[in-house]
Amino acid sequence: MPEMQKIKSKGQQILSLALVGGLIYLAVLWLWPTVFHFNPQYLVENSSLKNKTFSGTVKEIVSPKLRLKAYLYEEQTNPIVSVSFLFKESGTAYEPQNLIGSATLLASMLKKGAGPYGMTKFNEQLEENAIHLGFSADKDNFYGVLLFIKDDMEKAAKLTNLALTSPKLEEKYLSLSKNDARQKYKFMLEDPNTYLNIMANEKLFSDHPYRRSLYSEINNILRRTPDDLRKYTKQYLTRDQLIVSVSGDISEDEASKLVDSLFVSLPTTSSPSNLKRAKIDIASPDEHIQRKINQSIGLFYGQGVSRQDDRFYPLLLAMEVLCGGGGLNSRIQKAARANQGLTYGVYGSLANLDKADFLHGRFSTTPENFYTLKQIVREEWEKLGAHGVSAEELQQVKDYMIASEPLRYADIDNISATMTGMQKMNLGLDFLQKRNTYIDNVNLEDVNRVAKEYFTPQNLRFISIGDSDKMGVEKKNENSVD
Amino acid sequence: MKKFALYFLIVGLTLMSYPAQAVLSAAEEFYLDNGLQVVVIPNHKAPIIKHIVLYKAGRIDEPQGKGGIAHLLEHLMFRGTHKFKDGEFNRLIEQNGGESNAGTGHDYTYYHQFISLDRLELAMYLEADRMTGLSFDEKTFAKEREVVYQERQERLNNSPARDFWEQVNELFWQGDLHGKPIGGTAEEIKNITRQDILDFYQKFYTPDNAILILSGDIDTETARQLAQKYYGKISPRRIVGETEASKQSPLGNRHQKYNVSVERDDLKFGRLAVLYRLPRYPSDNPLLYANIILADYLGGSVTSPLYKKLRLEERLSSSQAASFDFLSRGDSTFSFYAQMNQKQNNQKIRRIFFKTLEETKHKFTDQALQQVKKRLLSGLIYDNDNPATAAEIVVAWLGSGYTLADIKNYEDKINRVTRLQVKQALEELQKTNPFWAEALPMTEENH
Repeated sequence: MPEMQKIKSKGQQILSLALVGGLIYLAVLWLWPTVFHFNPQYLVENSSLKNKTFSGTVKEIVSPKLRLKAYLYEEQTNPIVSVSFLFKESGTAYEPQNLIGSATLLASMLKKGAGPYGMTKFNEQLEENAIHLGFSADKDNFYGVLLFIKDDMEKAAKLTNLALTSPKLEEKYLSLSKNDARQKYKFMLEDPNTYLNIMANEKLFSDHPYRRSLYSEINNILRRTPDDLRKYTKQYLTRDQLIVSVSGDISEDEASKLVDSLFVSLPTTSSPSNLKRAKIDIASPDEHIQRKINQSIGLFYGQGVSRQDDRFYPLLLAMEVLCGGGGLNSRIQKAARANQGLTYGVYGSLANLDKADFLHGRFSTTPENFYTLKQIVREEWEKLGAHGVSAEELQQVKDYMIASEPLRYADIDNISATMTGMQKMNLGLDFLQKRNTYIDNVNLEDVNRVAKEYFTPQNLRFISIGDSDKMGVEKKNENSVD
Repeated sequence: MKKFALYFLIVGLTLMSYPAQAVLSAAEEFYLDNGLQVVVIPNHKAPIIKHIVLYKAGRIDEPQGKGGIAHLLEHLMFRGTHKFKDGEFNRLIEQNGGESNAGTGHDYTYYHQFISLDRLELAMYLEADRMTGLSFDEKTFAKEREVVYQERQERLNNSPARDFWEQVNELFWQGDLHGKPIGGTAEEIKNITRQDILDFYQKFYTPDNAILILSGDIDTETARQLAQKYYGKISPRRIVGETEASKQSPLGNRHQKYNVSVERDDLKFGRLAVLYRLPRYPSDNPLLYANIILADYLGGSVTSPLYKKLRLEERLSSSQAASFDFLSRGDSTFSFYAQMNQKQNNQKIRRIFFKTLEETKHKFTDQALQQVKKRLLSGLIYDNDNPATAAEIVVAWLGSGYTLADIKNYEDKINRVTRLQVKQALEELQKTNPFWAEALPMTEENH
């Protein structure tokens, strides 16, 4: 069927073409972020879920009777409560020679009967009421964690208090704990990862008490008596060394009273031991431990800075660029992937102990690839020091660290532990509000200045384990002088 | 990507039995028109969410002799689509603060992100995109296969105990694919082709074979809209036929007589296990719950008879557990496990275990039953706390062919179990041939 067509002048045709073209151009421009091109930023900023803002509020409370300070985070989603506490300067490194091993043993002994209850009766009550109570010790501190259903608050507090103030510490159960220590010792010998960690620890801290582990101190641990544990308890589990945090479905008033009932009758003051600052031995040559296994594992270390240091955040961010984040997208990870089929895990971070601050990381691969990967780690480390990070890389790790912040509120145990860490490190009551700003405020110059200072060839030491027979020979660094 | 604990069938058993009740009382489910099942678990404590897509396909769905396809595919899912190049998925999720990973099991494969709520749509966009748009060339394929191969090589011989359990599983399952290593053997991995991967992907990665789980700060209505927006347009492939029934080995094989005892110089202390292969109990069979109770009675507490005898009185073991592992599309396993203080304790430990089973017939009182029930149920409420935990529970149950209703009914079903039913479970167990395995150190150091 023939169609009637309007006759247009050439000028009109050009004009309408231009008009249509212009409209299409505008439409494409308008729709570009959504339809024609994927723009993650657009998707996030225009998400219907965006308008929720959230920031957890931490309060400081003081218990009415004992005047103990504690941090509180109220969270009423579920009728459950979590408590985290620690005693400062009481960990395995602080133990005097005649009490070495007490903290480790005590952590398992506190649940083996207390007050009027024998081991079985004590644990029956915990189990039947789903009261989760646990103790542990690391190099610096002695820890407790408690999780209970709100209705069982009184019982949970009572049992915890009994464990802390009148544990039975019977010889027959101590021999059981010692037996477990023996078994752990055997496991440490068997498991290459654990064994490497222990050995690295000994090599880094040489004569400082931070070198201690269940492995190195097994004979001391087996010598401890119930009296030793009593001495340790009296000396270290004291109110002046205590840090407490409470979170969950509990009011200020209830939480304050809870703190009193948890820690009543605990000795007031400690007789603290002195722990000197640790020298970390990065300068000594790399070391390798021979073992016939199909995986070779490497640990790497460098000096770090303390939590209070101005360089803390810049160094943290630089380390994130190198080998942090989810561990999937860091510089080392990318460089390792670019090489055919290398490894599936390189991860590192900044560690802060009371008396030592250091950078540490871990990687693993087959023996044949080990030295190639080690070389990649070394090269990336030195490259970071020499050339720093780019503005884009810095922005990426900042984005990651800021956007992942809300995940720390996933469970109340984690919130409690976070608040205990905040108090230990003196980060302030408003740390959770300010933390993203601290990160955002770090500028490129700071990061690159700190990178230059810390990611040097001298500030890097490797300690590894694996089958030397299959690992070939390590190519020495061109710059190094033998 | 990491493989999860299914590798570790036996050692991991103490952690099993993901129970839940009140948790999921708020959970709801619905289906999109294309068959995608959606489970929503609202939890409004913080603006965060766990986003999971689970495909009901794992190690047992692979063709014979082609072990490792499901796992290698899981790796390749991060290596690019028609829209995104290799590595973009991880970069985008990481830059948006998400924790992202995936896991392959015998029965299912799942992909998950734990992420701030305002970034959920990004995660959904990316996950929906790779449900249909997977794209990788031969070179990327070869590189990833090499990574997986290296992982396998590393794994072997690195943890002597794990090596041993892998052998035990293989023998115990008698050819059933549930006994095969999830990632395939080194030889199998070398033989996987790009086409094998694409075939598996085409066959199983489709909305009507998948479950979307949203656990966190979201309501069902919003979840429905978003699910429709991102996943609703994907056409189903309508896979036909049940795979699982054909994959199960004949019932007769359950009664086997293979036992294993090995000595290794890389072990420093001995391990011992007694395993029973039981049928897969559907969720309406009280024996399912009776077995859970029986296992917890035997080894779940410091008041349990195995703990008392082996650890406290005789001092033969440093840890001991009894478990009933039912979260599987295949048969279930009842197992007993101990770490020996001394390797010469092995026979004594086994004897005590069998004797304890026998004594349970008389010693398991109504009072004991009540005590176990209380122990099993009182802590269920904690599963409500972390949205990621609640989501993992759904993964474990639904990935094994159970339903959301089964999870919600768990508390009630446990409460209804009678002493007689536990006794019946015990009798069934005793009628089944035990398979025992032990791994002993050559020499043992003693302080």
